[in-house]
Amino acid sequence: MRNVLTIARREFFAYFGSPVAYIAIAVFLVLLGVTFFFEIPFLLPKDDFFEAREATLRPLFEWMVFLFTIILPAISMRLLAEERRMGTLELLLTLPVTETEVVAGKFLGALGFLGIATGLTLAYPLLVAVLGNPDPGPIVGGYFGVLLVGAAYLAVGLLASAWTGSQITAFLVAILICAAFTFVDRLPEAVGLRQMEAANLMSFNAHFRSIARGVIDTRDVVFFLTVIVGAVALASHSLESRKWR
Amino acid sequence: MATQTKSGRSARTNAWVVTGSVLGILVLVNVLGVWAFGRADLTQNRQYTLSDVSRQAAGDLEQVDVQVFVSADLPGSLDLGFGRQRDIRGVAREFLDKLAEYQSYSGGNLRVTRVTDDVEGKAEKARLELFTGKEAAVEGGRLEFRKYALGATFQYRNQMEVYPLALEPEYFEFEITKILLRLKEKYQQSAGMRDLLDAGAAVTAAAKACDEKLDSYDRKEDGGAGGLSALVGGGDLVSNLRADMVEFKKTCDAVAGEVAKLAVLKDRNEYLDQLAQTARAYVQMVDEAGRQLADPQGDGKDLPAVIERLRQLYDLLARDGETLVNSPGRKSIGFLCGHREFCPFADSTPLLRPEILQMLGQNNPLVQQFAGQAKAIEDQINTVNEQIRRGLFTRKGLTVKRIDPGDDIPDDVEVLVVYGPQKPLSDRDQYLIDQFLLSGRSVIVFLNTWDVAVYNFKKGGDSMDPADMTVDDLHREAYPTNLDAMLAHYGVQPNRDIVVEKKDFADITILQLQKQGQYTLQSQRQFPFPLLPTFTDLDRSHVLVKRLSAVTLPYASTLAVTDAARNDPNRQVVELIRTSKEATASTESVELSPPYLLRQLSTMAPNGPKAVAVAIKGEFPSFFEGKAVPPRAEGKKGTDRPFVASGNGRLLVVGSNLGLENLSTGKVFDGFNMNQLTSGKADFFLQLRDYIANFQNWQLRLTQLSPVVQANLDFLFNCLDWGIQNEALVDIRSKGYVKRPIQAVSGPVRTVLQVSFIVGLPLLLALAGVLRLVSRRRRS
Repeated sequence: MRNVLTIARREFFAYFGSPVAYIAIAVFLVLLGVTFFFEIPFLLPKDDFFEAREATLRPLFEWMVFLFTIILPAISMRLLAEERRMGTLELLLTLPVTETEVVAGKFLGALGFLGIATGLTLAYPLLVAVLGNPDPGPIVGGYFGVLLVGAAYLAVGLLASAWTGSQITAFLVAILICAAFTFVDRLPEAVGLRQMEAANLMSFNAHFRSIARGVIDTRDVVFFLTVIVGAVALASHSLESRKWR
Repeated sequence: MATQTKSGRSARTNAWVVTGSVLGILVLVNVLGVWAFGRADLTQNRQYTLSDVSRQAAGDLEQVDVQVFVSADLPGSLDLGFGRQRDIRGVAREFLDKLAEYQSYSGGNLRVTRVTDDVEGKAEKARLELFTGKEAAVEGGRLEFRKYALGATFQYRNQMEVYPLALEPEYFEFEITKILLRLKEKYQQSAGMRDLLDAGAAVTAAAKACDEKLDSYDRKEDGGAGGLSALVGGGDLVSNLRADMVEFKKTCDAVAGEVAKLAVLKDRNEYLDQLAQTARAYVQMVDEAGRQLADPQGDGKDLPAVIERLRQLYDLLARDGETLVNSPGRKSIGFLCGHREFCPFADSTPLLRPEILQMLGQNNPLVQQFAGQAKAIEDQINTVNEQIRRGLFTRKGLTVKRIDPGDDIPDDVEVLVVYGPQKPLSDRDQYLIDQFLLSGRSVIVFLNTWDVAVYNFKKGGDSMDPADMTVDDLHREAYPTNLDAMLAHYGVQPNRDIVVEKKDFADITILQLQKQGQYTLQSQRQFPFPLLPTFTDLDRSHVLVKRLSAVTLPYASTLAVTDAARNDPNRQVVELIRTSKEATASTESVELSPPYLLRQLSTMAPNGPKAVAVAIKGEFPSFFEGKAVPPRAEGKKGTDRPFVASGNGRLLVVGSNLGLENLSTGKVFDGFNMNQLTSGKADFFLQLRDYIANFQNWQLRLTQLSPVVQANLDFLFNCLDWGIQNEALVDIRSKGYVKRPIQAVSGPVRTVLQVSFIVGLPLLLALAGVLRLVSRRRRS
C-alpha cells in the first residue's frame, strides 16, 4: 500500500508541477460556467440559470459529466503511455513494485486531480444556497455520481494508456469508450432504433442520473465500481503481459 | 523463432482468457447486484422512500394482485407537443422498483406479476392508457404509430383499480397509495350497498347478453368476421334477426325484467338512478325492434337504425354500470358556477338558442353570419372547459360536479369550491354554502379580488406593443363580489388590497409585437413582476404546506383573522401562508407596467407579514342565524332541510385564484342581449370583435401566468385532497414536488456573478499555479 501511495503522490504532484493541470482545470471551469449560466439551445436546451430561477444543480452535474468525457481521457492518456514512450516504464518496473501497485498508484494520483477539479466547483452549490433553498440530497448525490463517473473515465483512460505507447491513440480510444458507455442509452433512439433495456443497464449516464436524484442505489454504485476495478485490473494485466512476450 | 511465435500466441490466449474472465466476473457481480440491492434516499423529503401511510396501505389489504404492463423497448422520450419532450428513460425501472418496494412492505399481501406477452393488447383491454412514440409502420396503407403501455391494474377481492399511465416517477407513490386506499374504501363501502350493486350488475349483465346476441347476428352475415358495414344495407342482419326472433326477444326482454326490479330501489343512489334511466331507454328500443320484427308488412328498413341505437345505448349502459361499481365511497368535489368563477364545465345553457336564431336568421343574413361566428366561439369555450375538466381533474381520478346558482348541493359532494367569483352571490347561494359548511364538510374559497389587465387586446381586437401602452391600457379593478361579510363571520376578513413582494416574485410573460418591414412578428418576453409574489413564510405544521418551500399567488389580497375566531376555543385557525416582512399590501394605486412597478418598489412602505391563506377547522356559527332563510328560486326543485344554527366544518380561504380565470360565454359575450338581434341595427355585428378580443384576452392572461399556474397545480390538488379529508395523500403528493425558487437577481448582480464564476474562478486557479511555480523555482 505504501508503494501505491508513493506512486499516487508522485503522479498527483507531477500534474500540478506543470501548467497542464491548471490549464485543463481552468478550461473545465470556464466551460462549466458558460454552460451553467447560459442557454446553449442546440447542445443542451435548458433555461439560463437566472431565468429558470430554480435552486437546482442538475444541469451543472450533467455538464460536468459531459466535459469530463473529454477532459479526463486527456489527463489519463499520459499515465502509462508516456512512461512507455519515454522508456521509463521498464525503469519503474525494475523497482520493488508490482504492476498492480504501479497502475493503482497512477489511478489514485489521477483521482486526486479529479478531486481538485470537482472540489473547485463547490462554489456553485454555495451560490445556489445563498440565492435559494436547494435540497441537499441531490447535491450530495450529484457530487458522488460525478466522482464515480469521473473515476470510471479515469480507469478507462488508464486502460487505454496501458494498451498503447501513443498518447494520442490512448486519448482517442479512451474518449471513444467513455462516450460510448456514457451515451449508449441515447444511441438507439438517435439512430432510429428502439430503446433497449440493456443499453440503459450499460449506460454511465443512466446510472449517474439515478444517483444524481439523491438516491444512492447499490446497483448504480456496484456498476461503477465494477467498471473501475475491471478497467484497473485489465490495465494491470496489460502491463504484466509485457513480460510474456 | 518458433518458440517466440508460440510464446506470442500463448500470451495472446492468456490476454483473452484474463479479459474474458474479468468481464465475466463484472457482469456476474452486476447481475447479483440487481437481485439484491439497497438504497439510501438523501433527499430532504425522503422523496424516493415510501412514507408510513404508503407502507401501512400496502400491508392493510389481504392479497392484492398487481398486474404490470410494461412494453418492451419503450421509447426514450415522450412527445408532449409544441416541440416539448419528456425524457422517460429509466421510468419503467423506477416504476417496477417502486412496486417492489410496496411488495416488500406488504408482508406478502401484494403480489406483483408482469405481463409478458401481447402487452399492449392486454393493457388496452385492462383499460390502460396507451401512448405513442416516434416509431411508425405502414399498416393497411396508413402510417400507424406504435403504441406503448406502462401501467398496472390492482385487483382486491371483487374490486379493481387501474393505474393507466405511469410516466411521472415523482407521483408514483402518490398514485399507488391512492389506489390502495381507494380499493380498501371501495370494498368496505360496497358491503353496505350490496343490493344496489347487485341490481345494477343484473341489469348490465342482461343488456350484455342482448348485445352479444346482436353481435352474433352481425357476425353471421359476414362469415363471422363481424363489422357493421352490412348494417347500412340491413338485409342479412334483418333476415338473421327475423329467423331468430323468438330467441332474440327472450334474451333481450330479460333486461325489462331486471329494470322492473329497480323500481323499489329508486332514489337510493343517484348512480343507480342514472343507470335505470338509460336501461329504460334500452328497453324501449328493444320493444321498438320487436315491433318492427313482428310487423309482417314491414320491410325492416328502419331496423338497422334501431339496432345501431341499441348498440349505442348498451355502451352508455355499460359505462353507467361501471360508474355505479366505482361509486362506493367516492367523494365528489363541487364547483360553484354561474358567478363567473373558474368553472371547468361546458355552459349548461346555450347563449344563442338555435330555434330563435333560425327564426331571426331567415330575414337577416347578418344575424346568420353573427350566429355562425358566435356559435364557433361558444363551442370553443365549451371545448376548452371540458378539456380543463378532463385534463386537470378527471384524469387525476377526481370526480367534479357543477353546482349551478340556486341548486342544492348533492350529498356525495364532500368539498365545495368557490373559485374566484367575479359577481355577487344570491342570498340563497350563500345560504347553501353556509349550511354545507355546517354539515361537517369543507368549503374552499379562492378569492379573485382584482381584475388586473397588464397587456390586453384593445376593444376591437387590435393588439398593442408595450411601448405604446398607456395608463388606460393597464387597469386594475375590484370585482363586485359579496363574500367578505360571510367569510368575516366565519373568522376570515378579506382585505381589499393587493400584495407587492419586493424580493421574491415570479415573471410575467408578455407578448410583444415587433415590426419588421411590412411584417409584424409576435414574441414572448418575461418580466419580473412583484404582483406575482412568491411566499416562503408557510406554516409547516399544517399538512397543506408542510412540504412546500414556496407558493406564488398572483394578484393576491391579504386576509385578517377576526378576534372572534382567534379566541374561539372550538375553532382551530392556521395562517397557512403569510407575506414577508418587507412586503406591501397596498390599497393605493400601484404601477402595473412591470418595469415601472420595479422602480416604484423603493417608495412603498412595508407592512408585512400578513396572511394570504387561512384554514379554519371546528365549530362555525351560521351566517343566517337570526335571519330569514332565503327562499328557493322559482323552478328549482329539491328537498328543504331544517336550518342548522352551528356545526363543525372546514374552511380554507386563499387570497388569490392561483392564476386560473373564469372562461364562460357570459364573460366573453359580456353585454350581449338577444334583443339586439331584432332591433334592426347592425351594432351586434360590430360587437363581435369585442367578444373575440375578450376570448383572446382570456388566452393571453393564461399565457402570461402559465408557469405560475403550472407550479400552483400541486397546491390546488393539495387543497382539494385536504377538503375531501385525504390528508395522508396531501402529504405524499407534496413530497413529490417541491418548488425551490431562487431570488430574483438584478441585471448588474447577475453579470458580476457570471464573470466571477466564469473568469474569476479560473483566474484564481491560474494565480495559485503561478505562485506554486514561483515558490518551486525559488526553492530549487
